[in-house]
Amino acid sequence: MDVRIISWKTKGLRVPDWEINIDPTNGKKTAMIMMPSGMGKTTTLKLLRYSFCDYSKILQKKDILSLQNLNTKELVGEFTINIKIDNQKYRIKSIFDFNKCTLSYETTDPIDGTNKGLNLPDEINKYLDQEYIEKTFFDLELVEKLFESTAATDSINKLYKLYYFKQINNFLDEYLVKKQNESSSGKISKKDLEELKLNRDKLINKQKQLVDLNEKNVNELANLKLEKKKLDKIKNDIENSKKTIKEKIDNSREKISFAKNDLKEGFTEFYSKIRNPILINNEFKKKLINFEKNLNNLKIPESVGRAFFDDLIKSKSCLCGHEMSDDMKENILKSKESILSEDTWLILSVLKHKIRKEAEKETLNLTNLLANIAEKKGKLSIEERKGNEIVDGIDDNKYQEAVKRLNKIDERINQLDLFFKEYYEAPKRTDSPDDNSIKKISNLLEITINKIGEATATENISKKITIIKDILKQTEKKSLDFITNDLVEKINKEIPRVMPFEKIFVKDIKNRIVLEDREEGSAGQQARIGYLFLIKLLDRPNLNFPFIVDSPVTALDDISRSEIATTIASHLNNQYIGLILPKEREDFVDVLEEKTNNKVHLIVAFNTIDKETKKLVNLAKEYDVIKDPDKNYIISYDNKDFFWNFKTNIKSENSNE
Amino acid sequence: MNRFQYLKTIKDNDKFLGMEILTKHIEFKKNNPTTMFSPINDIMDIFYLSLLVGLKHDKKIDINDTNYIRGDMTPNWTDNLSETKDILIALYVSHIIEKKDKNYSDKSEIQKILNQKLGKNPTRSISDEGMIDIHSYAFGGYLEILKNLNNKLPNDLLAFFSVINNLIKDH
Repeated sequence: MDVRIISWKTKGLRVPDWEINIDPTNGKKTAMIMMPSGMGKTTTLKLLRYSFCDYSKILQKKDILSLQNLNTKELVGEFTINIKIDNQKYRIKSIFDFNKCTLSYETTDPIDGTNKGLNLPDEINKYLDQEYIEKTFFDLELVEKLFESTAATDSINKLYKLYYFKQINNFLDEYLVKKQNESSSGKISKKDLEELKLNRDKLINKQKQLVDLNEKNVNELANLKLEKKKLDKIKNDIENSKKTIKEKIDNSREKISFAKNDLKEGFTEFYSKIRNPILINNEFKKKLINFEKNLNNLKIPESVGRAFFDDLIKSKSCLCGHEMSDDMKENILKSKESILSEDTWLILSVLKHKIRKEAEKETLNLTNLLANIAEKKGKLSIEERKGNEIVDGIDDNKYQEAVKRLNKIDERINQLDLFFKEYYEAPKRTDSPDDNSIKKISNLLEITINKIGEATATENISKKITIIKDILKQTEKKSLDFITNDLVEKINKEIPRVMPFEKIFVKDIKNRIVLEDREEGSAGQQARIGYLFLIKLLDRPNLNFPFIVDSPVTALDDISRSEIATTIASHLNNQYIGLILPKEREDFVDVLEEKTNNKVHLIVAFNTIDKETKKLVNLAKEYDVIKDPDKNYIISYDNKDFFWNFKTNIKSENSNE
Repeated sequence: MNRFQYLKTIKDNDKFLGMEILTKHIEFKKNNPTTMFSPINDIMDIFYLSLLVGLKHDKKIDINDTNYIRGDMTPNWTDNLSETKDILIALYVSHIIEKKDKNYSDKSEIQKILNQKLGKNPTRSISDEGMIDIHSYAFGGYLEILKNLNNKLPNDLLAFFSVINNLIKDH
């Protein structure tokens, strides 16, 4: 099945009321739509997503309101998209009611005409769910996420619907609960059984809450790490641009690093000393020396074995020849207690040896060590204060904001780290339902379900369910392994082509994409591998569906841009639509044009409402792109000169800048 | 006792800071500005420091008292304490012997104590009875530490170790 986007039209939304045509039937399956920053690229991406999958129950009020045109405040917004499915024309209209905050659809198809609802052919619908759409219509952030967090495995799980296994598991759990609720064998009192059931329900809720919170936190952590990476880059770039300050900062950081190491060593030394009790306190030392000396004086341990007494008790007669009576045996047992056992003898020998060895050393003064630590801590505070003064002195709002935000991110990452540590804590015997470890809660739940199983004589069902769940678990694991290995193989096959100068292979996909021989690649390397991953992941033998990417190559170097362009031009059969910023043209669009024999729609689109856009209108005029006075936007199609000379930071003639 | 245990909480005392809470507060955390210097890696470290304090001040509690809620830890001494355990056990048995027979005058009684308190398991080196004893001292010592921390989590590592030092140093 082949799906192509022909055009779309917007009305009453946060993008101008325009129509954009990208008809690919003339052989141009690639479209580059260039818009200045803030003119609706991301909104367009969202609107396109909403057109192919029913989002009416997914979108929240705020999502819908964020699409409303704030200038005209129209109460209804419409996004109409014309597509071709196997050369048959379809039209989908998404209708946003900003009063009721609802989304509804109208579909026009070649057989039934116009009807309410989103009615795409069933053969397409089976592929198009939210996950598929959000991966095929994506922004570069998704590619970055594939190398952090669990985004890569999550994508596989969702697109290959491996989450069905978890759903089946849940059905099985629900079935067991239902059966347990229906039965009662009277093995325990009704009150006790009710209490167990109450506990079970509480634990099921807690388990669900924890899983949801973990998923939320994993996402948040991935986003924070990405944001931190970007802010670190901004911060470093600004520091590097101010040479004198950079030297001062480097110098200060070195001093802080030394002071931190010093302090760490101080604490480590203190703790290593405190772990030897004989050297930290004279009273302890005296007591231990006394112990060793007195045991020696008493000839403890002696080499008399208690085995002698054991043999004596077993014998029929005593050494003196009398028959062994019960009283005699009891006396021998009492005597045996005060004779060292072989085990005690062995341990005591070790203890005495250790005391002799350690007692020779000098007692330490921990108070002095602590004073030393306090001094080191003071030094670190001074260096940190000096470092902060340098940073505070940097007169750059962007820098200060980055530093401020980075501090907040670090604080939050610390909190999340604590959550994850607790989340994966191993079960103990004394766990309670208030614990926040998923392992502990799952363990408690299993124990409780088993108890209910015994009480309600449903152990058999429970055992069968456990067997099925084990099989499902194995199947899920094998499926994931199979898909992952297949993807890795396919990606690595393409690496020599997309990375001719620096072949970096994918080692594995374990939650995230893991690279061979390195912790991480550069942004460009990761983007190229990420693209490959998505292209291979979304490849469906029976479906040729458009790829739409928001800011496809922003922040990438020239080689990465041109290799991505080559991949799109030569190895992607699907229609490709890039929503780009002017700064993304170089080394990307030119390569695309070259590799496709100029079969690329070159579109420039911007609104003309804002005062600032007057300069853009004048620039357009220079390239014979004339604004229609009745319209509040300009769209230029395939005007190469304008496309390549379009810029947003135009200096005015009278500018003193 | 199959495992070492920690003092988790005290019944009807919501404000009680269990050993786990204190450990989490001061244990090593890579990105935390205060605890990135911490040499504490495990709750057993807190157990060890508490035991030292308990023995130094002869503070012990009845761990079978159901008001004291315990949690499980490791079955054996942690790597961090593997070099320490022999001297620690020696300190403990010498303390017990001195309490009963300060001058080491009754050999058979001393041998009896040693048999009772030292254990068959060479990795643990202490008997079940001895285990219960050292837990009594460790929990007693922990309560003493909390008292000296004014039942509040310490502001930083230095504050914590200063309290420990004051409790175990020679006076």
